[in-house]
Amino acid sequence: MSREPISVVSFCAVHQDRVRELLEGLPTLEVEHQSTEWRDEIDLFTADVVIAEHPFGPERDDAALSQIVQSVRDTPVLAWLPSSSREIVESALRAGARDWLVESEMDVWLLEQALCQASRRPFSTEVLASSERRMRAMFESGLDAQLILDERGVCTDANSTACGLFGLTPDKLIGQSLTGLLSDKAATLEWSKFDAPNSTAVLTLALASGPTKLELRLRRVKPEVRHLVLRATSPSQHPSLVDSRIATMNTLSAAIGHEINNPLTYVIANLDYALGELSQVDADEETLESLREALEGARRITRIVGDLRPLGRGTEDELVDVVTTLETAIRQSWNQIRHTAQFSRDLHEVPPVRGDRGRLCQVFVNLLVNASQAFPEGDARQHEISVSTRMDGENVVIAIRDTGQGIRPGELTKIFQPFFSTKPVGTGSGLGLFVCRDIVEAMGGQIDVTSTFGVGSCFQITLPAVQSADERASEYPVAKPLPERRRVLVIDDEPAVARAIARVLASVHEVNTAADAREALLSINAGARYDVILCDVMMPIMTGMAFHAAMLEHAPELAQRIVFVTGGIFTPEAEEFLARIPNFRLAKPLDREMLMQTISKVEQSALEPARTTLRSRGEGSIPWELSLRFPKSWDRLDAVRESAGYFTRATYADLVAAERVGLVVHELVENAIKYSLPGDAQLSVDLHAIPGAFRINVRNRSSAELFGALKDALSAVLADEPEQAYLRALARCRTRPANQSGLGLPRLAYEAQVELSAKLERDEAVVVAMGRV
Amino acid sequence: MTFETIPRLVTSDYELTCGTDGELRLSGQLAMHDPGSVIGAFFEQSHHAAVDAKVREISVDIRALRFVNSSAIRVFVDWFSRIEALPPESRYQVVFIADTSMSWQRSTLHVLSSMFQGMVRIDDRAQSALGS
Repeated sequence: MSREPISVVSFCAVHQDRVRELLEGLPTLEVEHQSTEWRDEIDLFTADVVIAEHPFGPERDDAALSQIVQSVRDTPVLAWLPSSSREIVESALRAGARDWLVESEMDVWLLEQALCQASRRPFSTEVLASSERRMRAMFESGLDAQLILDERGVCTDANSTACGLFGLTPDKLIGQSLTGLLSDKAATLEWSKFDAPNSTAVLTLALASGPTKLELRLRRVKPEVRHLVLRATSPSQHPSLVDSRIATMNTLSAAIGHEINNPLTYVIANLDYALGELSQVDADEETLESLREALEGARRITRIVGDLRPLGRGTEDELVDVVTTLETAIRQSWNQIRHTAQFSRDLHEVPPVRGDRGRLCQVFVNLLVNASQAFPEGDARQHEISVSTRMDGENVVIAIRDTGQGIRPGELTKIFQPFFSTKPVGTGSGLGLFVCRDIVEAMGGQIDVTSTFGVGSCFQITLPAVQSADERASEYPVAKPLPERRRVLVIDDEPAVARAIARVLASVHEVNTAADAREALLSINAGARYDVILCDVMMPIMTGMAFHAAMLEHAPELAQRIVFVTGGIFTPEAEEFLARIPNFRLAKPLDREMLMQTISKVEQSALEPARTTLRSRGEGSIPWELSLRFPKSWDRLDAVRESAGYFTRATYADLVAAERVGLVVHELVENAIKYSLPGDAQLSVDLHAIPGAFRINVRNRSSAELFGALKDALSAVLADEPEQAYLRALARCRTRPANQSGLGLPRLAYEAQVELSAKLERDEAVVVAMGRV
Repeated sequence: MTFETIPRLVTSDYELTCGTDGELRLSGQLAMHDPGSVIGAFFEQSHHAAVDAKVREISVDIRALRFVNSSAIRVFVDWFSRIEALPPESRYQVVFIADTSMSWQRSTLHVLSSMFQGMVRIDDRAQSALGS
């Protein structure tokens, strides 16, 4: 069991503490570690492995690494890099590094693996297992279908995307030959010709979803092992082109958003302030109206920038009144509608839906404006646009019809594709309907279109209704501004933004501003205390992330009171950081109501007893609203844990600290994985905590059959006293497969004392756990 | 099989050790998908060592074990079932040195001791309320 210690010399100035900490925590490898910051001294040490920071030191010297490599001659040098950007990795390898280690991705397992590799030592079984889990997670979470084939082309392993592509379960797919698999789908491949060390082929397959072009890339890993990647491409448009255009759009829009949102923040905040002040001094209506119009214009810019926001970001989860939202959209589009067509409405009262009110309004406006552009210029009395709402089963249906020129049959299937537009060049981005579909699908609904060319079109949106009065009643209460005066600190490197926020809040709260997070830190270290800190994320001298880290160290009770303000641009580190922490965040531009509500929410959550308890234990804090969405395969919890670090951290670091809540989340997630459809399962966890109680919803894609099994299991639990149900489950668990104890639900009912219920909504199983704190 | 030969299991999530006196110490969190395949052998070896040493009692210190998922509870059940299957004269008692201020320890140990009466005992060494 015991192995010779490995001798490591580290040459680091900036990262020496982190390197030392990791080396001291290696799970199975004993290390004799010496460190130096002086390159002249490095050849005084003898070592099995050298770890060298690159670029070196605060002055970012990138010549040090090659000098070290030369001075230690045959000793392998591992470059310790701040990121895995291609330029840095390439420069490290050019300098002669044997391998590279990335600061942000490093953990004890990876480091031990790298040290063993560099020093040609065998891996311990634990390191091998960790490596296997990582590789498995990467394999499983791949967006491309991947198969492992033997020398005859027979499948020995497949990821869930591959199972989905061929419509087979793993046990049916494994053992099949590639040629057999493809010929079943009306494509052929001559294996003997394809099986070169690195081969590529393009085939068209007849799948249930239509003919699909497949690009196959084969790599011979060993004589007896081949790794095959199958990338499906649409026959009409190569996805890499679409992907690159979307990626470019996202990058561009984030940058534009950042530039516009900062000035927009102080335009809106100052207009808000001026309107409020003038309303109190009896200003003339004309002046007030001009300010209102200016404010409306600024808000319209906000919406336009919001449209450009990378898809899927920035959505709320609230109850939305469909008719009111539709009326708002009609008002916003009225100028365009009234000049082009007669307008009629048939709006029946319908239950609310769940989602983002602003985004749904954006969908309606988009469809109404499109409808108004569907007519040739001429007499508006000849044309008609109508909107209607109705119920269809458990769904709310909204229809927007026009009697315009309609859509050509060949174009009907393309209109939701990104960058497809029938409008003249320069008038349509081709993103409107694409974004509409994204928003509607994010709300669990769908958007359909019927059209007859020359006659007109009808767009129909179907959204799941929120029927239960309980569900509506238990909605997270809208926070109202507290009457108490709070101390607020605003940190933003753009002084006009900080001043505008301060001006808006000053009537209710006491506000200080800082243009630099270091200045804020100094005042806090000197004893200043705040109820809420509004902090920009991307600042040049000290970022919001660095400020948060400093607060955790110097004033942890204030760290949870930081609200991060984002301007629309993120580095990967900032994205990861914001996904990991429970703090509230706001997107610029900000308005008064948004600011007031958030300050109130921060205050409420900081007062909650559970948080106090957690803080006193020093184990972090529990977020009040948590929404985790995992779009990938869910057949292995280990894969989930490895591939979704934020899940692991949220569940194990924060929630487990809150014991019962953590237990419920953990068990429900495990349970959901068990009852999820294989391959394309999606899982989301929503935690709503209000003073004295919490509610957790876990949704997962599930078939009626799987849901039936879940419902049966739940009924068995609910039919008995919680303790008896748990005892019975313990007695039965010995006869079940090892990784399916059947204890999850009974344990929740007994140990976490939650009320459990389940329902099937479309193809989603929703398990709800409600408990008192 | 002796207690000395049982290897320590250490990962970033948990640590399972067996002292030379046969006291097991479990810490961290057991929350893997299939705990039986990962930590089952540790308990099986501990069981065989306890039988070979003819002990009447074995202590398991779980005060630093913050969380176990239900699949890990199943590992305990399997262990107690092995004890139950022994002839009465070879059976030994498992004493959990516990911190019942953690609700999972309080409730789960209560149920396990009800189910395996006489085989499972709780030695509650709960700290006074933290931070209060």
